[in-house]
Amino acid sequence: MKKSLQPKLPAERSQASLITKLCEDHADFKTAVHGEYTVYYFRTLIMNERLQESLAHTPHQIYYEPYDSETVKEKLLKGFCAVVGKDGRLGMLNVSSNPMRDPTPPESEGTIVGPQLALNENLDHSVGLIRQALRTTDLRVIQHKIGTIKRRVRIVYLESKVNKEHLAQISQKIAGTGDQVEYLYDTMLLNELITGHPYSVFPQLLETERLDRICSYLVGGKIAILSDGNPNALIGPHTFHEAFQSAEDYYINWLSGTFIRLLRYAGFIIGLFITASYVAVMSYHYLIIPADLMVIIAGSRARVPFSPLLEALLLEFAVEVLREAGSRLPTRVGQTVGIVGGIVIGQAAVLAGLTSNILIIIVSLSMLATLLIPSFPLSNTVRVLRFTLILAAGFIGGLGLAVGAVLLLIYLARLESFGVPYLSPFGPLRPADLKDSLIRAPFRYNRDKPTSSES
Amino acid sequence: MKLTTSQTVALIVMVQFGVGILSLPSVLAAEAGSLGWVPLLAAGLFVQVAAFLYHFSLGKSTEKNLFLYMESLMGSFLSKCLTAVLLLYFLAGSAIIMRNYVFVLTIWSYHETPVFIIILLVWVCVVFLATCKIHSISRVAQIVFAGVLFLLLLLLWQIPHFEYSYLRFPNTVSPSSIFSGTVETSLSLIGFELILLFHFLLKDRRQTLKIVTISNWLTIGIYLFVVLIVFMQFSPEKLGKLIWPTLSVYKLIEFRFLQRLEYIIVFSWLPLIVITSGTYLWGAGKCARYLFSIKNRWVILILSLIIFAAALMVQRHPDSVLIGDYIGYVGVGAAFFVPLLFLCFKPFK
Repeated sequence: MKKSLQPKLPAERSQASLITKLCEDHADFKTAVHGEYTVYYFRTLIMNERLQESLAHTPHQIYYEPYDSETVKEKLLKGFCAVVGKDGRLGMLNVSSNPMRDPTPPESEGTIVGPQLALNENLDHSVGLIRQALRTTDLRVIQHKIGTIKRRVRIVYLESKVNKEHLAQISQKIAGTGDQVEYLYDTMLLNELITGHPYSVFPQLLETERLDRICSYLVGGKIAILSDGNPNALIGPHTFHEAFQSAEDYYINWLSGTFIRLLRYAGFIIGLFITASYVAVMSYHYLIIPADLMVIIAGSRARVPFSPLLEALLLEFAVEVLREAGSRLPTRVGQTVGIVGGIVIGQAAVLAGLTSNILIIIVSLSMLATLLIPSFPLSNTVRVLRFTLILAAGFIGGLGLAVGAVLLLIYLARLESFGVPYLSPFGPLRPADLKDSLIRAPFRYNRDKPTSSES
Repeated sequence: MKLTTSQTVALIVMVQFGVGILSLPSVLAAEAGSLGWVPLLAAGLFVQVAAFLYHFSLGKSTEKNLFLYMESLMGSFLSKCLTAVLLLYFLAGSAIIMRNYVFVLTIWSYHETPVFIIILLVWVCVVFLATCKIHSISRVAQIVFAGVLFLLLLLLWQIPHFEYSYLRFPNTVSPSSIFSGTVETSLSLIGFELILLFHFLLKDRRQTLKIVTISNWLTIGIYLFVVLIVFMQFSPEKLGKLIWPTLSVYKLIEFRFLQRLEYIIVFSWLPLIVITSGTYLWGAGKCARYLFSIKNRWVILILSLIIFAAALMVQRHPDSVLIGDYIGYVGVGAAFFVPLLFLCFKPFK
């Protein structure tokens, strides 16, 4: 941009009128005369100090050229300042102000130990963070512009590690999105636009804001997708087991990491099935409960006027209401809601005979188990599917539950993320990748690139 | 995407299991008493012979699928006739496996629920699986395989109650009863004949012998494990009265917080049945597609309705067992006849 002045004859001499026409009716658009130059800019998009400094030192060094109206508009909206000389020549000066928050610890993927650095909404800054962490020319960045109101989307990968087929697929999908969307307000939207199963409740791209996690996936041959205005990166191809991995697993002892990971898988199973199993057993198969235990359960349910199905649905619904209410409130108010909801209402419901103690324990366990899953989208999926399974169990007991589980398993086996089987490395079985899926093996056995990055 | 050795092994083993593993011990006890494990091993040898037949008959094929291979061997007409037989066999197999399982469900758990509803629920799962591509079916098989192994290991809980004297050499056992036990067992080993279709989808087609051999002996090993545990649990007289003795062993397992484990096992058997019945339906779909040249989606829809209707038509459990046996005999016959036929035609190719 900053070249020595070689004035060129402008293609059209009425640049000033063109800019004024482009930006009329904009309250924050400003025109100012600075010596022999007239400057045009959006006051809200520029940094005033930069503008003053540039105008004081560099206007004579601006590279003047015949910009077309689209480019002028685009640059003005990026925070450039249009400088028009007395002879009508036009130049653009970058004086943009990029307001951004400082790097902060990850909010949604917090860990007790390990690095505490998350991306932020500024795309350049986020890519810069990745580049600083992976200082290698092997790191490549491809840019696309999405939407009728253009937003930048960048694909980041390591050239030597990435699977070229996956890269081509992802790049093609993003490029193909083009103007399908008016405004890309979140990466989640991109998630729905580029994945093979857009209506699926299961996440097919991993969403993360943690820099360490993104870097480790890039080194593992995955592809990161970042977009303007969003602090989360999408990682693909994504497999089911990755939803159970947390950055912390690698910052603690391998045995503790393995234990916690197994706990998360157990959380997934419990979160999905425990309430539905209660409904099935209480409604149809009470014979599987030994008599001693059955006396306690029956005593607890004696005053409850609802069927096990209705009782479970009501309580699950109440828990979801409390959870949603708590999550939208400031921390302290949220805690109060939790206490009032969980303890006071729960206790009162039991005393009033609206529900049984046993079911309160089961539903609480079910909700806590869901929270064990590090992936927020998968955790939400479990919340939704749980209700379906409760209904199936209420309809026909254990068979309903089994049918639900089988359909779910078959569905997951059919699912693929950019050609990679979603259930890999369990099905298809890839023994080498099991070292970092169900368990977290010690690093010395866990150095290879996962084969699940292959189709 | 092609099938790997482990995927195909898991698939064949799961198809072989079916409902057979639940009833096999009583069948063997009835034929050979406590020596029931002998026919089991003999049946394993029997299938091993078939494995060699498949190896020699399919080994060097380069065609895209079984049907093109058959056409290249025996011409279009014979190939279509044989495909029609296979189609009927796969369809009947799919329907009867599903129906037999529904009998287990209705007898153990759902005495009063209309059979129509139970069949419908199982059928939905079977059709959903059959509409998958084969590599998706094999993924389900691999995961379910691990689960089934875990469930079978639960049988070891009964070790303290094993009665080793039940394994003593019986007083009356003849070679003919061993032979008829072998034939009965081979009905429970049906499923390996699907290698006819799988062979053409393998990553490495030279692995056919290895795949059938591993899956055969893996199945035999697991059957042996179950049969011996059941034999040590019930006397031969008692075994004669039990239809599904494996489930009866689960019934004996009790924890302080759980009893009547067989309820859970009956439901846990669903994925296994879905794989068995669904894979046969998938195979039938392949045959029908070749015969009638119509789109796969419609083929599966029509065939699904046929197996649903067929399952509804079988009303009594003894009839179901009998039909199952007949289909099994056809299966055993086809499993040997088809590769032999290929070998006969091969010199003229």
